[in-house]
Amino acid sequence: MSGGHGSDHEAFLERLLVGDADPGAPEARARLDACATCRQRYQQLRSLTSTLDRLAAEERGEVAASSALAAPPDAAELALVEPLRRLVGSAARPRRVPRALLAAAAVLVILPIAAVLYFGGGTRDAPGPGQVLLGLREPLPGMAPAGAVLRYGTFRADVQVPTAGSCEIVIRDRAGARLPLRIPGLERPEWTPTAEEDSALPDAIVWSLEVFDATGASRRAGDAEASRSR
Amino acid sequence: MSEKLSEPGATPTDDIAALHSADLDLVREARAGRRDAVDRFVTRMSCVPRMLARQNQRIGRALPPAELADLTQDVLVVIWKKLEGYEGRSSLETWAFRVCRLELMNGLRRTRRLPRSLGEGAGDDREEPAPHSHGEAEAALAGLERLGPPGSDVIRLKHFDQLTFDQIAARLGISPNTAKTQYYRGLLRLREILSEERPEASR
Repeated sequence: MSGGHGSDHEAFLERLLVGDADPGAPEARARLDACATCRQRYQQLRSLTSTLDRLAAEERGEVAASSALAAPPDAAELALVEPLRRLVGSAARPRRVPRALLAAAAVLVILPIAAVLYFGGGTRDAPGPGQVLLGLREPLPGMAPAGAVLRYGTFRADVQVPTAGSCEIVIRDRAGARLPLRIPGLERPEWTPTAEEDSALPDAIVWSLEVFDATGASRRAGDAEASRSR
Repeated sequence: MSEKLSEPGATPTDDIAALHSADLDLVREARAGRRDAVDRFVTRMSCVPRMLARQNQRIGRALPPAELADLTQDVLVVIWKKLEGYEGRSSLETWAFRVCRLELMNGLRRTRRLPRSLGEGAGDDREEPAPHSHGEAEAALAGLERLGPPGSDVIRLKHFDQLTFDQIAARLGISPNTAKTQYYRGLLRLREILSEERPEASR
Protein backbone atom coordinates (compact mmCIF):
# COMPACT_ATOMS: atom_id res chain seq x y z
CA MET A 1 0.00 0.00 0.00
CA SER A 2 2.77 2.42 0.86
CA GLY A 3 4.68 1.61 -2.33
CA GLY A 4 8.05 1.62 -0.62
CA HIS A 5 7.29 4.78 1.31
CA GLY A 6 8.60 4.56 4.88
CA SER A 7 6.17 3.51 7.59
CA ASP A 8 6.98 6.60 9.66
CA HIS A 9 6.09 8.72 6.62
CA GLU A 10 2.79 6.85 6.27
CA ALA A 11 2.08 7.32 9.98
CA PHE A 12 2.77 11.05 9.57
CA LEU A 13 0.37 11.27 6.59
CA GLU A 14 -2.28 9.36 8.51
CA ARG A 15 -2.03 11.85 11.40
CA LEU A 16 -2.47 14.72 8.93
CA LEU A 17 -5.44 13.15 7.16
CA VAL A 18 -7.34 12.18 10.31
CA GLY A 19 -6.74 15.59 11.87
CA ASP A 20 -4.35 14.55 14.61
CA ALA A 21 -1.62 16.79 13.18
CA ASP A 22 -1.86 20.31 11.78
CA PRO A 23 -0.54 20.51 8.21
CA GLY A 24 0.13 24.23 8.70
CA ALA A 25 2.42 23.66 11.67
CA PRO A 26 6.11 24.40 10.94
CA GLU A 27 7.18 20.84 11.73
CA ALA A 28 4.57 19.35 9.39
CA ARG A 29 5.43 21.81 6.62
CA ALA A 30 9.10 20.96 6.98
CA ARG A 31 8.37 17.25 6.68
CA LEU A 32 6.21 17.77 3.61
CA ASP A 33 8.90 19.96 2.04
CA ALA A 34 11.52 17.32 2.73
CA CYS A 35 9.68 14.41 1.07
CA ALA A 36 8.26 14.72 -2.44
CA THR A 37 6.28 11.48 -2.06
CA CYS A 38 4.67 12.67 1.15
CA ARG A 39 3.85 16.02 -0.44
CA GLN A 40 2.32 14.50 -3.57
CA ARG A 41 0.39 11.84 -1.65
CA TYR A 42 -0.94 14.38 0.83
CA GLN A 43 -2.12 16.65 -1.98
CA GLN A 44 -3.83 13.76 -3.80
CA LEU A 45 -5.57 12.54 -0.66
CA ARG A 46 -6.65 16.04 0.34
CA SER A 47 -8.11 16.49 -3.14
CA LEU A 48 -9.92 13.19 -2.72
CA THR A 49 -11.36 14.15 0.68
CA SER A 50 -12.48 17.49 -0.77
CA THR A 51 -14.33 15.64 -3.53
CA LEU A 52 -15.97 13.39 -0.94
CA ASP A 53 -17.01 16.41 1.12
CA ARG A 54 -18.54 18.09 -1.94
CA LEU A 55 -20.40 14.91 -2.88
CA ALA A 56 -21.66 14.52 0.68
CA ALA A 57 -22.83 18.14 0.83
CA GLU A 58 -24.65 17.73 -2.46
CA GLU A 59 -26.24 14.52 -1.25
CA ARG A 60 -27.41 16.07 2.03
CA GLY A 61 -28.91 19.05 0.17
CA GLU A 62 -30.71 16.90 -2.37
CA VAL A 63 -32.03 14.47 0.24
CA ALA A 64 -33.29 17.29 2.44
CA ALA A 65 -34.96 19.03 -0.49
CA SER A 66 -36.62 15.88 -1.80
CA SER A 67 -37.68 14.18 1.41
CA ALA A 68 -41.35 13.46 1.92
CA LEU A 69 -40.72 14.39 5.55
CA ALA A 70 -39.91 17.93 4.38
CA ALA A 71 -42.89 18.32 2.07
CA PRO A 72 -45.78 15.87 1.77
CA PRO A 73 -46.06 14.28 -1.67
CA ASP A 74 -48.74 15.49 -4.01
CA ALA A 75 -51.16 13.25 -5.90
CA ALA A 76 -48.97 13.15 -9.00
CA GLU A 77 -45.92 12.02 -7.01
CA LEU A 78 -47.95 9.39 -5.19
CA ALA A 79 -49.28 8.14 -8.51
CA LEU A 80 -45.74 7.87 -9.85
CA VAL A 81 -44.58 5.71 -6.95
CA GLU A 82 -47.79 3.69 -6.80
CA PRO A 83 -46.31 0.69 -8.69
CA LEU A 84 -43.87 0.29 -5.82
CA ARG A 85 -46.75 -0.64 -3.53
CA ARG A 86 -47.56 -3.67 -5.64
CA LEU A 87 -43.90 -4.64 -5.90
CA VAL A 88 -43.24 -4.38 -2.17
CA GLY A 89 -46.49 -6.13 -1.38
CA SER A 90 -45.58 -8.94 -3.72
CA ALA A 91 -42.32 -9.50 -1.83
CA ALA A 92 -44.36 -10.87 1.05
CA ARG A 93 -46.00 -13.52 -1.06
CA PRO A 94 -44.57 -17.02 -1.34
CA ARG A 95 -42.11 -17.15 -4.19
CA ARG A 96 -42.79 -20.75 -5.14
CA VAL A 97 -46.12 -22.42 -5.51
CA PRO A 98 -46.31 -26.21 -5.67
CA ARG A 99 -46.78 -27.38 -9.25
CA ALA A 100 -49.72 -29.60 -8.34
CA LEU A 101 -51.49 -26.58 -6.86
CA LEU A 102 -50.76 -24.56 -9.99
CA ALA A 103 -52.15 -27.31 -12.19
CA ALA A 104 -55.31 -27.57 -10.11
CA ALA A 105 -55.76 -23.80 -10.17
CA ALA A 106 -55.26 -23.75 -13.93
CA VAL A 107 -58.00 -26.34 -14.41
CA LEU A 108 -60.36 -24.46 -12.13
CA VAL A 109 -59.73 -21.14 -13.87
CA ILE A 110 -59.38 -22.21 -17.48
CA LEU A 111 -62.33 -24.59 -17.68
CA PRO A 112 -65.04 -22.05 -16.79
CA ILE A 113 -63.50 -19.43 -19.08
CA ALA A 114 -63.32 -21.91 -21.94
CA ALA A 115 -66.94 -22.90 -21.29
CA VAL A 116 -68.12 -19.30 -21.38
CA LEU A 117 -66.24 -18.64 -24.60
CA TYR A 118 -67.54 -21.82 -26.20
CA PHE A 119 -71.18 -21.56 -25.14
CA GLY A 120 -72.00 -17.98 -25.89
CA GLY A 121 -69.26 -15.66 -24.80
CA GLY A 122 -68.09 -12.78 -26.91
CA THR A 123 -71.02 -10.51 -26.23
CA ARG A 124 -68.66 -7.99 -24.76
CA ASP A 125 -66.32 -6.06 -27.03
CA ALA A 126 -62.72 -7.05 -26.66
CA PRO A 127 -60.62 -4.23 -25.30
CA GLY A 128 -58.38 -2.43 -27.74
CA PRO A 129 -54.64 -2.06 -27.50
CA GLY A 130 -53.55 -0.58 -24.20
CA GLN A 131 -56.96 -0.91 -22.58
CA VAL A 132 -57.27 -2.19 -19.07
CA LEU A 133 -58.08 -5.86 -18.86
CA LEU A 134 -59.87 -6.29 -15.58
CA GLY A 135 -61.96 -8.98 -14.07
CA LEU A 136 -64.40 -6.50 -12.58
CA ARG A 137 -65.98 -7.31 -9.27
CA GLU A 138 -69.59 -6.55 -8.49
CA PRO A 139 -70.10 -2.91 -7.56
CA LEU A 140 -70.75 -2.12 -3.92
CA PRO A 141 -74.18 -0.65 -3.09
CA GLY A 142 -74.47 3.01 -4.00
CA MET A 143 -71.14 3.24 -5.80
CA ALA A 144 -70.85 6.61 -7.47
CA PRO A 145 -69.76 7.84 -9.93
CA ALA A 146 -70.88 5.08 -12.26
CA GLY A 147 -71.73 5.12 -15.94
CA ALA A 148 -71.70 8.34 -17.95
CA VAL A 149 -71.32 11.47 -15.86
CA LEU A 150 -70.57 15.14 -16.49
CA ARG A 151 -68.09 15.30 -13.62
CA TYR A 152 -66.93 12.63 -11.23
CA GLY A 153 -67.57 14.49 -8.00
CA THR A 154 -67.42 12.48 -4.78
CA PHE A 155 -66.39 8.84 -5.02
CA ARG A 156 -68.51 6.93 -2.54
CA ALA A 157 -70.36 3.76 -1.67
CA ASP A 158 -73.04 2.85 0.87
CA VAL A 159 -71.03 0.48 3.03
CA GLN A 160 -70.22 0.27 6.72
CA VAL A 161 -66.63 0.66 7.81
CA PRO A 162 -65.71 -1.49 10.84
CA THR A 163 -64.54 0.29 13.98
CA ALA A 164 -60.92 1.42 13.51
CA GLY A 165 -61.12 0.13 9.95
CA SER A 166 -60.33 2.04 6.80
CA CYS A 167 -61.13 2.29 3.11
CA GLU A 168 -59.06 2.57 0.01
CA ILE A 169 -60.08 3.95 -3.34
CA VAL A 170 -58.09 3.15 -6.48
CA ILE A 171 -58.85 4.93 -9.73
CA ARG A 172 -57.51 3.39 -12.91
CA ASP A 173 -57.38 4.76 -16.43
CA ARG A 174 -59.73 2.63 -18.56
CA ALA A 175 -57.33 3.00 -21.48
CA GLY A 176 -54.43 1.84 -19.35
CA ALA A 177 -52.30 4.77 -20.47
CA ARG A 178 -51.81 6.24 -17.00
CA LEU A 179 -50.80 4.87 -13.65
CA PRO A 180 -53.49 4.20 -11.05
CA LEU A 181 -54.26 6.80 -8.41
CA ARG A 182 -54.57 5.24 -4.96
CA ILE A 183 -56.14 6.98 -1.98
CA PRO A 184 -55.48 4.78 1.05
CA GLY A 185 -56.39 5.26 4.70
CA LEU A 186 -59.86 6.78 4.27
CA GLU A 187 -61.94 6.73 7.43
CA ARG A 188 -65.20 6.82 5.49
CA PRO A 189 -66.12 5.19 2.17
CA GLU A 190 -65.84 8.41 0.22
CA TRP A 191 -63.30 10.72 -1.32
CA THR A 192 -63.87 14.05 -3.02
CA PRO A 193 -61.21 15.23 -5.43
CA THR A 194 -60.47 18.90 -5.66
CA ALA A 195 -61.61 20.56 -8.87
CA GLU A 196 -58.04 20.33 -10.11
CA GLU A 197 -57.74 16.65 -9.24
CA ASP A 198 -61.13 15.89 -10.76
CA SER A 199 -60.16 17.60 -13.98
CA ALA A 200 -56.88 15.68 -14.12
CA LEU A 201 -58.58 12.28 -13.91
CA PRO A 202 -58.90 10.27 -17.14
CA ASP A 203 -62.18 10.54 -19.02
CA ALA A 204 -62.84 6.82 -18.75
CA ILE A 205 -62.06 5.12 -15.47
CA VAL A 206 -62.44 1.91 -13.57
CA TRP A 207 -62.42 2.56 -9.87
CA SER A 208 -62.57 0.37 -6.82
CA LEU A 209 -63.41 0.79 -3.18
CA GLU A 210 -62.11 -1.68 -0.64
CA VAL A 211 -63.01 -1.79 3.05
CA PHE A 212 -60.52 -3.04 5.62
CA ASP A 213 -61.03 -3.94 9.27
CA ALA A 214 -58.79 -2.80 12.12
CA THR A 215 -56.28 -5.58 11.42
CA GLY A 216 -55.92 -4.54 7.79
CA ALA A 217 -57.87 -7.52 6.47
CA SER A 218 -60.06 -6.84 3.46
CA ARG A 219 -63.78 -7.06 4.28
CA ARG A 220 -65.57 -5.83 1.16
CA ALA A 221 -64.56 -4.58 -2.26
CA GLY A 222 -66.26 -3.57 -5.45
CA ASP A 223 -65.51 -2.02 -8.83
CA ALA A 224 -67.35 0.49 -10.96
CA GLU A 225 -66.78 2.03 -14.35
CA ALA A 226 -67.43 5.66 -15.13
CA SER A 227 -66.88 7.92 -18.09
CA ARG A 228 -67.02 11.63 -18.28
CA SER A 229 -68.17 13.63 -21.28
CA ARG A 230 -66.63 17.07 -21.25
CA MET B 1 -45.26 11.30 8.28
CA SER B 2 -44.48 12.53 11.75
CA GLU B 3 -41.82 9.94 12.44
CA LYS B 4 -39.86 10.45 15.59
CA LEU B 5 -36.28 11.13 14.65
CA SER B 6 -34.54 11.63 17.96
CA GLU B 7 -34.94 11.74 21.68
CA PRO B 8 -34.12 14.86 23.72
CA GLY B 9 -30.56 14.67 24.93
CA ALA B 10 -29.52 12.07 22.40
CA THR B 11 -26.04 12.33 20.93
CA PRO B 12 -25.61 12.76 17.17
CA THR B 13 -24.55 9.12 16.97
CA ASP B 14 -27.66 8.02 18.83
CA ASP B 15 -29.79 10.14 16.49
CA ILE B 16 -28.37 8.59 13.36
CA ALA B 17 -28.49 5.07 14.72
CA ALA B 18 -32.09 5.54 15.85
CA LEU B 19 -33.16 7.00 12.53
CA HIS B 20 -31.59 4.23 10.50
CA SER B 21 -32.82 1.40 12.69
CA ALA B 22 -36.33 2.86 12.44
CA ASP B 23 -35.95 2.88 8.66
CA LEU B 24 -34.67 -0.68 8.70
CA ASP B 25 -37.69 -1.75 10.77
CA LEU B 26 -39.97 0.03 8.33
CA VAL B 27 -38.44 -1.80 5.38
CA ARG B 28 -38.72 -5.16 7.12
CA GLU B 29 -42.36 -4.58 8.02
CA ALA B 30 -43.18 -3.34 4.52
CA ARG B 31 -41.52 -6.39 2.98
CA ALA B 32 -43.53 -8.56 5.35
CA GLY B 33 -46.64 -7.03 3.80
CA ARG B 34 -47.89 -4.94 6.73
CA ARG B 35 -50.25 -2.49 5.11
CA ASP B 36 -49.44 0.53 7.25
CA ALA B 37 -45.72 -0.05 6.73
CA VAL B 38 -46.19 -0.39 2.98
CA ASP B 39 -48.14 2.88 2.99
CA ARG B 40 -45.45 4.68 4.94
CA PHE B 41 -42.69 3.20 2.81
CA VAL B 42 -44.37 4.18 -0.46
CA THR B 43 -44.98 7.68 0.87
CA ARG B 44 -41.32 7.99 1.86
CA MET B 45 -40.29 6.84 -1.62
CA SER B 46 -42.24 9.68 -3.19
CA CYS B 47 -38.87 11.42 -2.89
CA VAL B 48 -37.70 9.36 -5.88
CA PRO B 49 -39.47 11.34 -8.64
CA ARG B 50 -38.40 14.55 -6.93
CA MET B 51 -34.78 13.46 -6.72
CA LEU B 52 -34.67 12.35 -10.33
CA ALA B 53 -36.35 15.55 -11.52
CA ARG B 54 -33.88 17.68 -9.56
CA GLN B 55 -30.88 15.69 -10.77
CA ASN B 56 -32.14 15.87 -14.33
CA GLN B 57 -32.59 19.61 -13.96
CA ARG B 58 -29.03 19.96 -12.72
CA ILE B 59 -27.75 18.46 -15.95
CA GLY B 60 -29.84 20.67 -18.17
CA ARG B 61 -32.90 18.41 -18.42
CA ALA B 62 -30.97 15.88 -20.44
CA LEU B 63 -33.92 13.49 -20.24
CA PRO B 64 -37.26 14.64 -21.69
CA PRO B 65 -40.32 14.23 -19.42
CA ALA B 66 -41.46 10.92 -20.92
CA GLU B 67 -38.03 9.34 -20.52
CA LEU B 68 -37.74 10.73 -17.02
CA ALA B 69 -41.08 9.10 -16.15
CA ASP B 70 -39.81 5.81 -17.61
CA LEU B 71 -36.61 6.12 -15.63
CA THR B 72 -38.62 6.77 -12.48
CA GLN B 73 -40.39 3.45 -12.96
CA ASP B 74 -37.06 1.72 -13.65
CA VAL B 75 -35.59 3.18 -10.47
CA LEU B 76 -38.57 2.01 -8.44
CA VAL B 77 -38.01 -1.51 -9.73
CA VAL B 78 -34.32 -1.28 -8.83
CA ILE B 79 -35.24 -0.02 -5.36
CA TRP B 80 -37.57 -2.95 -4.91
CA LYS B 81 -34.90 -5.39 -6.07
CA LYS B 82 -32.28 -3.86 -3.77
CA LEU B 83 -34.61 -3.48 -0.82
CA GLU B 84 -33.67 -6.88 0.55
CA GLY B 85 -30.10 -5.63 0.87
CA TYR B 86 -30.99 -2.43 2.70
CA GLU B 87 -29.15 -2.62 6.02
CA GLY B 88 -30.04 0.72 7.55
CA ARG B 89 -26.53 2.11 7.07
CA SER B 90 -28.07 5.32 5.78
CA SER B 91 -31.54 6.81 5.87
CA LEU B 92 -34.04 5.49 3.37
CA GLU B 93 -33.97 8.78 1.48
CA THR B 94 -30.18 8.84 1.31
CA TRP B 95 -30.15 5.25 0.15
CA ALA B 96 -32.78 6.07 -2.48
CA PHE B 97 -30.82 9.13 -3.58
CA ARG B 98 -27.74 7.00 -4.24
CA VAL B 99 -29.82 4.59 -6.29
CA CYS B 100 -31.35 7.52 -8.20
CA ARG B 101 -28.01 9.11 -8.95
CA LEU B 102 -26.50 5.85 -10.16
CA GLU B 103 -29.50 4.90 -12.29
CA LEU B 104 -29.76 8.38 -13.81
CA MET B 105 -26.14 8.17 -14.87
CA ASN B 106 -26.70 4.67 -16.25
CA GLY B 107 -29.78 5.90 -18.10
CA LEU B 108 -27.91 8.81 -19.60
CA ARG B 109 -25.05 6.56 -20.57
CA ARG B 110 -27.43 4.15 -22.29
CA THR B 111 -28.98 6.95 -24.29
CA ARG B 112 -25.56 8.51 -24.87
CA ARG B 113 -26.70 11.76 -23.36
CA LEU B 114 -24.15 11.74 -20.60
CA PRO B 115 -22.52 15.14 -20.44
CA ARG B 116 -18.79 15.12 -19.89
CA SER B 117 -19.43 16.93 -16.66
CA LEU B 118 -22.37 18.38 -14.81
CA GLY B 119 -21.04 21.79 -15.71
CA GLU B 120 -20.41 20.95 -19.33
CA GLY B 121 -23.03 20.25 -21.93
CA ALA B 122 -25.77 21.45 -19.63
CA GLY B 123 -28.57 23.61 -20.96
CA ASP B 124 -29.02 27.30 -20.37
CA ASP B 125 -31.92 26.69 -18.01
CA ARG B 126 -29.81 24.99 -15.42
CA GLU B 127 -30.67 26.66 -12.13
CA GLU B 128 -27.85 25.47 -9.95
CA PRO B 129 -24.25 25.40 -11.06
CA ALA B 130 -22.65 22.02 -10.63
CA PRO B 131 -19.90 22.26 -8.02
CA HIS B 132 -17.71 19.52 -9.45
CA SER B 133 -17.28 17.51 -12.57
CA HIS B 134 -19.65 14.63 -13.13
CA GLY B 135 -16.81 12.29 -14.05
CA GLU B 136 -15.04 13.01 -10.79
CA ALA B 137 -18.20 12.49 -8.76
CA GLU B 138 -19.24 9.33 -10.55
CA ALA B 139 -15.73 7.90 -10.32
CA ALA B 140 -15.50 8.62 -6.60
CA LEU B 141 -18.89 7.01 -5.91
CA ALA B 142 -18.11 3.99 -8.06
CA GLY B 143 -14.71 3.77 -6.38
CA LEU B 144 -16.35 3.69 -2.96
CA GLU B 145 -18.54 0.84 -4.13
CA ARG B 146 -15.49 -1.07 -5.33
CA LEU B 147 -13.55 -0.31 -2.18
CA GLY B 148 -16.05 -2.09 0.04
CA PRO B 149 -15.93 -2.39 3.83
CA PRO B 150 -14.35 -1.58 6.17
CA GLY B 151 -12.77 1.33 4.30
CA SER B 152 -15.91 2.42 2.48
CA ASP B 153 -17.94 2.27 5.70
CA VAL B 154 -15.53 4.47 7.61
CA ILE B 155 -15.16 6.94 4.74
CA ARG B 156 -18.94 7.21 4.32
CA LEU B 157 -19.47 7.68 8.04
CA LYS B 158 -16.73 10.33 8.14
CA HIS B 159 -17.72 12.38 5.11
CA PHE B 160 -21.36 11.59 4.36
CA ASP B 161 -22.62 11.18 7.93
CA GLN B 162 -20.11 13.67 9.35
CA LEU B 163 -19.22 11.56 12.36
CA THR B 164 -16.06 12.01 14.41
CA PHE B 165 -13.65 9.10 14.68
CA ASP B 166 -14.87 8.48 18.24
CA GLN B 167 -18.45 8.25 16.95
CA ILE B 168 -17.41 6.01 14.06
CA ALA B 169 -15.57 3.76 16.49
CA ALA B 170 -18.62 3.53 18.75
CA ARG B 171 -20.85 2.83 15.77
CA LEU B 172 -18.67 0.07 14.38
CA GLY B 173 -17.55 -1.36 17.71
CA ILE B 174 -13.86 -0.70 17.08
CA SER B 175 -11.27 1.54 18.72
CA PRO B 176 -10.85 5.14 17.48
CA ASN B 177 -7.29 4.32 16.40
CA THR B 178 -8.54 1.40 14.31
CA ALA B 179 -11.16 3.67 12.77
CA LYS B 180 -8.44 6.18 11.83
CA THR B 181 -6.24 3.49 10.33
CA GLN B 182 -9.11 2.00 8.35
CA TYR B 183 -9.99 5.48 7.11
CA TYR B 184 -6.45 6.26 5.97
CA ARG B 185 -5.97 2.88 4.32
CA GLY B 186 -9.37 3.28 2.70
CA LEU B 187 -8.36 6.63 1.24
CA LEU B 188 -5.13 5.18 -0.11
CA ARG B 189 -6.95 2.28 -1.72
CA LEU B 190 -9.65 4.57 -3.12
CA ARG B 191 -6.95 6.74 -4.65
CA GLU B 192 -5.47 3.62 -6.27
CA ILE B 193 -8.86 2.54 -7.61
CA LEU B 194 -9.45 5.97 -9.13
CA SER B 195 -5.96 5.94 -10.65
CA GLU B 196 -6.65 2.58 -12.27
CA GLU B 197 -9.88 3.80 -13.80
CA ARG B 198 -8.91 7.35 -14.63
CA PRO B 199 -5.12 7.47 -14.97
CA GLU B 200 -5.18 11.19 -15.77
CA ALA B 201 -6.81 11.91 -12.41
CA SER B 202 -3.76 10.79 -10.51
CA ARG B 203 -1.32 12.92 -12.42
